[in-house]
Amino acid sequence: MIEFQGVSLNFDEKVIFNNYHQIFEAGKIYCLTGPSGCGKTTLLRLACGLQKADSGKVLFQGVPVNKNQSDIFMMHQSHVNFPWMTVLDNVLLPLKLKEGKITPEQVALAQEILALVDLEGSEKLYPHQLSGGMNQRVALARVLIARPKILLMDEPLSALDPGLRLKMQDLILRYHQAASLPISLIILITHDLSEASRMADLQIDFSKIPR
Amino acid sequence: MVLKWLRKILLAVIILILWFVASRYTNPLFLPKPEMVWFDLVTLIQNGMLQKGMLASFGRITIATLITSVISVPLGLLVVNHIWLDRMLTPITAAARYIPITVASPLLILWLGIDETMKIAFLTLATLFFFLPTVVMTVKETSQELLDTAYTIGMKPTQVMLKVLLPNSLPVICESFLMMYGIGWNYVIIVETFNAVSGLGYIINLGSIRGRTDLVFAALGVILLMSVVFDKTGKYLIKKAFPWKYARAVED
Repeated sequence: MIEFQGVSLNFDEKVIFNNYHQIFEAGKIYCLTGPSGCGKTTLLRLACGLQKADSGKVLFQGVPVNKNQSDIFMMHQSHVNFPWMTVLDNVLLPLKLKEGKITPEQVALAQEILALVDLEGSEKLYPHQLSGGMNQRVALARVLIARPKILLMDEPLSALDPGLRLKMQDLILRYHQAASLPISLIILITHDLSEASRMADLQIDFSKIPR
Repeated sequence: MVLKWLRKILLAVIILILWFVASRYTNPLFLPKPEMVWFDLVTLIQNGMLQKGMLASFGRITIATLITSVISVPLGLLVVNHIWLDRMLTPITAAARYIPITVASPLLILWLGIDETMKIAFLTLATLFFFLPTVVMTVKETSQELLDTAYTIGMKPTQVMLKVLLPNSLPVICESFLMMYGIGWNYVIIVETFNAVSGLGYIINLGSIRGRTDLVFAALGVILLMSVVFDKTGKYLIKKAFPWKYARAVED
């Protein structure tokens, strides 16, 4: 669970949040909609401790969030992969950081997940050799292998064609709903209202937040 | 590609012809004849002075640029995570770029003498205030999304510095390293006027004192050739070393 307690944040003269209260409950998918520049991405950055509030608190399981906690993952729309690493290394990176070295079983698991996101055989390629949509799927594979408790997604499927987009939505839902997998809370930014209604337990229209 | 090379060769031939013709009607003190310069080059090679000079100048520039890199790269990486360091360094480097570095030479002679240490220190100062801001700017240009991703998958600040900021900035840092050689060649000529016994700057200085403009032309030609070869080779190697930076991205 992530809780915003009276969060206020200004960028220069612009008020982004003014005494904002919101509880994002575990087990749910929240979709944030609204026009560009209304603070959706800032909310995700606050939720994982990448952005500090001017006042108020952001709590994860009752404790203030910090940017180095590996339980909360953020997935962006672009620049999602490390360009000097192969696809396989990009996917395995969270495990390597956590455990120091990679086992053959983990490599097999990464290959299995890459197949799930339709990237079988792309293990040795580099991000510049992939399209934007393929890069988004590599980032998704990295999320699925890391299995964070909370997943913050900033238009993560925007570069995919409609068919693949539905397939990836299903995959995310499957990982979210499976009892054995820990991705319990997802906060998703999307401009696609059909995606929002298909995936969300709750939609929040950011243009209507009082400031 | 062939056409491009033909154009370059044609331009060189035109310049040579113009030089050849102009030198027939000009005092050799102002414009030496091409054959005199060629003769000097052959003589300098035969007596070993040119090879020794090339090695000495190139060595001085290389040592100074390496010292500059050892100072600039770690500082540039630290600046991103330490705002106080950024605030301290930025005004110093910004101001230092406007100070003519040649005024440092009397001070360096006073502090360090007139031998190699002074020459290396002078070249280090000359390159440092250009290289450090370039490294800082390059590191700061790392995309915020990439940094966000790194932090949220659990990287600590030191890991972000070494595993994200450094590899992401390395291609541009290497390009800037090549550019520092250009600055180095500019200043090595000045520094080799102080008590030098070798170096291309020494040959130029010698030619200048003795009114041998042909020697000055010969040494300048060698500097030009060395710079072009070094620059082209360096850029080729950088492109080979970092294909992810220079290859064309796949379009959707």
